[in-house]
Amino acid sequence: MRLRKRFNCTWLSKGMFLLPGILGVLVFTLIPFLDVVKRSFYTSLSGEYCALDNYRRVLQNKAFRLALYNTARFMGVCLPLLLVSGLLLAVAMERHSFLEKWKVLYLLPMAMPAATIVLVWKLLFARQGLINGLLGAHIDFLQGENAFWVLVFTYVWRNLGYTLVLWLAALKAVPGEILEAARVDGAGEARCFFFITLPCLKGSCYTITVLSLLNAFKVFREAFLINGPYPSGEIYLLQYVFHNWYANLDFDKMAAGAVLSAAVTGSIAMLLKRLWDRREEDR
Amino acid sequence: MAEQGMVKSSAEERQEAKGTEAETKIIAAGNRRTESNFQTRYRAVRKKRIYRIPVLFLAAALLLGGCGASLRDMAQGGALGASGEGDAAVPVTGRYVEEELPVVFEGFSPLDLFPVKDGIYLAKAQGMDGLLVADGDRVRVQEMLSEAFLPIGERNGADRMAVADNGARIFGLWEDGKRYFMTPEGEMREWDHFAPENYVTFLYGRDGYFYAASLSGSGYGSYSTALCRVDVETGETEHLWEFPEAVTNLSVCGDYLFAGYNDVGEGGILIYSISRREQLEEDSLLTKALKKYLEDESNSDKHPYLIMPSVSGEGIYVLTREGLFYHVMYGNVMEQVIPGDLCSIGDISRMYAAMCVTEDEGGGMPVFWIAYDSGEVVRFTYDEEVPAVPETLVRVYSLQNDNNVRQAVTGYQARHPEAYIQYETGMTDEDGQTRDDALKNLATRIAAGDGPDVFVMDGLPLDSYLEKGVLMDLTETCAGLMDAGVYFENVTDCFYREGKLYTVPMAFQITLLMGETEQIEGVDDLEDFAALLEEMDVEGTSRIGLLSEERILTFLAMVSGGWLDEDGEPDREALSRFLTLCRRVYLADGAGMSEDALQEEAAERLDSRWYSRDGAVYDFINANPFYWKSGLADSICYFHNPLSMGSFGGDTLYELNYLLADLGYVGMDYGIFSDGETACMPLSMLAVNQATGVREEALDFVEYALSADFQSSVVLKGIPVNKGALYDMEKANLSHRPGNFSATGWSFEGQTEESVVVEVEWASLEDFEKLNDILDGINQINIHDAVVYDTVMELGASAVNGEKDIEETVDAIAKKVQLYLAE
Repeated sequence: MRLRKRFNCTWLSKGMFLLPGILGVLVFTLIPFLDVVKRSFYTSLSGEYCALDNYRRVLQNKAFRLALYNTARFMGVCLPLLLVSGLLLAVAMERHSFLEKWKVLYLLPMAMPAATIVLVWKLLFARQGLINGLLGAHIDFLQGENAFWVLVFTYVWRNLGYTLVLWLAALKAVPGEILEAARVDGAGEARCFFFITLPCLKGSCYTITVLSLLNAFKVFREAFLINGPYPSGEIYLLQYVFHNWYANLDFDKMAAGAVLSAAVTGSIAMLLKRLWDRREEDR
Repeated sequence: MAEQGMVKSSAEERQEAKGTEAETKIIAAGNRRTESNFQTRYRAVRKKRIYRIPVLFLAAALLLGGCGASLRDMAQGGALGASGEGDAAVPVTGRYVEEELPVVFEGFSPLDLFPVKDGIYLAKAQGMDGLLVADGDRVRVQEMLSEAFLPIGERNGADRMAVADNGARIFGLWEDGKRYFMTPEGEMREWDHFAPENYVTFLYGRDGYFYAASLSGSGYGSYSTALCRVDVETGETEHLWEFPEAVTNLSVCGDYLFAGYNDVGEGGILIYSISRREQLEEDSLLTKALKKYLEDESNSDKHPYLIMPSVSGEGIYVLTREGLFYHVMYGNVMEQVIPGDLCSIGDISRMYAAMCVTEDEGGGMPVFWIAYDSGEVVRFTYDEEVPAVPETLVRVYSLQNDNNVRQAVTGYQARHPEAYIQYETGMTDEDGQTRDDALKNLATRIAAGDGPDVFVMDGLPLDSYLEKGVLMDLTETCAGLMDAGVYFENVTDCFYREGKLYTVPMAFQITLLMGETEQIEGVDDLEDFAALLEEMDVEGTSRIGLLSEERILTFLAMVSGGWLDEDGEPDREALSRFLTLCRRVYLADGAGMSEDALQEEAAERLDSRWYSRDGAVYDFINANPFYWKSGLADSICYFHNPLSMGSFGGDTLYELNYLLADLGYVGMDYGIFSDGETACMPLSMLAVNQATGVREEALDFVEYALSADFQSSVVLKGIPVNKGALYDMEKANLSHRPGNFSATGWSFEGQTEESVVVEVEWASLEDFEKLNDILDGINQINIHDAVVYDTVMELGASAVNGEKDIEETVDAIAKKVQLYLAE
């Protein structure tokens, strides 16, 4: 009786702590998402059931396919670049304490409003901008393939500080005694890094990757403010399609596209998780 | 409060009791641990807090639900504040309703309105006065011509006049430039209190005196205004004081004199005591209420605001576009008596000429009489039966402020007190929203089933809305009018989609090309236009003053379009042709000019704000007081451009008079500027939401906005789509005023120290016939898809100035447009 009471009490208190979060996710994410799933089977404003027609239209839509390709390409370039550069910088910072003092500087880009960044970018990258002035060239950095690399740069520049802090926290969690023992056994710095530090960072790597993936979607603000709703084809990301579909009342296509995107993103996240879990088990 | 406290205490007691009970049970179960009183109390409080959470949620939900009724619900409830009551709510009744009064001597602007023994005296320009007499519920009007003044009025000779209730007048005479006081008996006396060159305005203060304000000064910041008053019986003049500012509006309310001034954008209201001859402290609330209107104020007979004494004399009435307000001097409230958006008071196209207030014969609420500069006089009486808030709400939405629609809203509102027409704009100057933000917000509303009832499709994605079935088919609504040939069918026919009409424009604009007859006669398309510029031999100035790549793209796009082919794909050939011709125009316009001269002219044109209106070089502006600054005047007199172009269609007929006068002066002609097909640009395209809950009212509003009754009674931006309205206005213009002419002029001190005075005559029947022939020849509408248009404008500039190859630019445009079309 007493045990049961204690059990109930513990679960009740845990439940109460979780309730606001669960409610929030339920009300603001899950229920709306279920509504989106429902809408993906109906026409936009007339509300007629159309089975998988919206999915077919979305998958056949050239704009969607291009955006999907661009988004995948953007992620494929940005995520490794950010994760590796963040890790290298974090390792360097950990070893040289004077660098750590400037840690806050790396976080500054995150604090800068998107509108400010856009203004600076325009000054820098425009055809008559500062960079062209210095190079004596007339390259349009905000159009074509150049725009893609400007966007990659923006993403990495903006998120590097955050990733750095996460990596630093993860590095601090690497047990010092293991490293100490390895060094006593004659392991060099490189071997220590690859055989001790890196394996210890695997757990954090999943979290950092997922967070970086989510942050990658936020770069849309800068891109949108610079180029408007119809940018150069190279930086036409999924968010653009959704944004324009929404403005043009294509809610049905948007719903189907959102479900597909969620399925793909969710699958990637689960796949990553599974890979990590399996490796953990193997160890 | 005491009761609440008791309840609270007992609830706490119950909680404590529960805590004690729980404690007892714990002990009974063999738990030897006992809890202190503090712990018990803490548990009780915690429990109470836990219960509070759902209670708080519930309360919040109820609050939100209770307050969340839409304006439509409120309107249906009968009054603001009746949210959530539905049909059960008792509607609050009582509101001022307006009635347009018959007028005498149409075409003569009203000067003043004041009560006299037999009714309301309506003083009009040139002494063409009338008397408004209440006759039961109606008002009839009598002519009140002054025998003594008639000779002056007949020859249109008076300028700046004020009339007193005893028949005395004070005015200036065009002929000799002098000012006169006319006694009640009709005796004329010269009145020379101020220097003839000074600008003088007169006002009847309704206290036995005329007030005369004389503006003098020589530049910004150094103006002053001298004030004197003239006894209406004897003509005796007394100098009162000098204002240190340029006073533009005087009002007398008993002993108070209000002087509105606007000194280089810094406006304010000076208040004086007439009896004590001293300035009183500022009424901050009054100044705040009128400050924004002072910017529009000029020394004339039309005002953006008026101040009148109340009947009791205790307070003042203030009339602005926001409505009629009652204000006790130095009080902290401006009490709204009549909301501007429910009647003609809020009509932005009109200014106020005069206002007076009288007591209701039945001893009820006061009656207000307002005269507008456009000639209408309205009476506002309080109707106890009418719901305080109109029962039906019709929401009209446009992306940007549209004065055509605004006028239709006000006109419809005035005729339908039972409905509230709410005009909403997606993008305003204040909120800084982009087109994109506004579209998204609108999409959200439409998706939520809360979309507007009437759309103004200018700038909205027409194709997308049609595809989604958002718009209602207006074919039936407009069928009668179409069959009767009421509209410009050649324009409206272009709007049919698969036999159905979803949107109809209220007006349209055409683009004119002006130059010597033999030069412009052969210009039928952009090739001809480019060739003409290339052939011209001009020194020291540009050919047409387009100069910059952005302006060339904008202006040529006004007549050329069709950048998508029949399959809806980008038409590379058309794009390439357009950009090539723009490039040719760019090179030819400034050919032979040095880089410095080009930049100088371009910079001077950019400084001219009137050029930026609607992207037209020569854009006539509605009732533009600065007409002498118009593009044509600049092009011809300042830059000596041999050609000029721009959109035509503001106050169409008024503009035609000026256009003909200007062109006649320089020996030029005008013709429509087209690119093969004769295109027009539709304005204020109205459409009705398929999901509207007020279908009848929304359709009725659209019908009204397209009716001849409305279109001929207002100053539309654009040529009215209702052909009958245009023809009515032409007829009225042909027999406009005695003498059948008006005259104006401008002086110009520019580069050439040239001074120009142009006599403007009223357009003749032949002139109207020429215009009508041009309008009947329109066979295409030019609606650019906003995304395609923006893309061409954005990327095309570098092809026009030669930075990029034309084919390369066409590729870039096509790529981007394809992306848009693929969505």
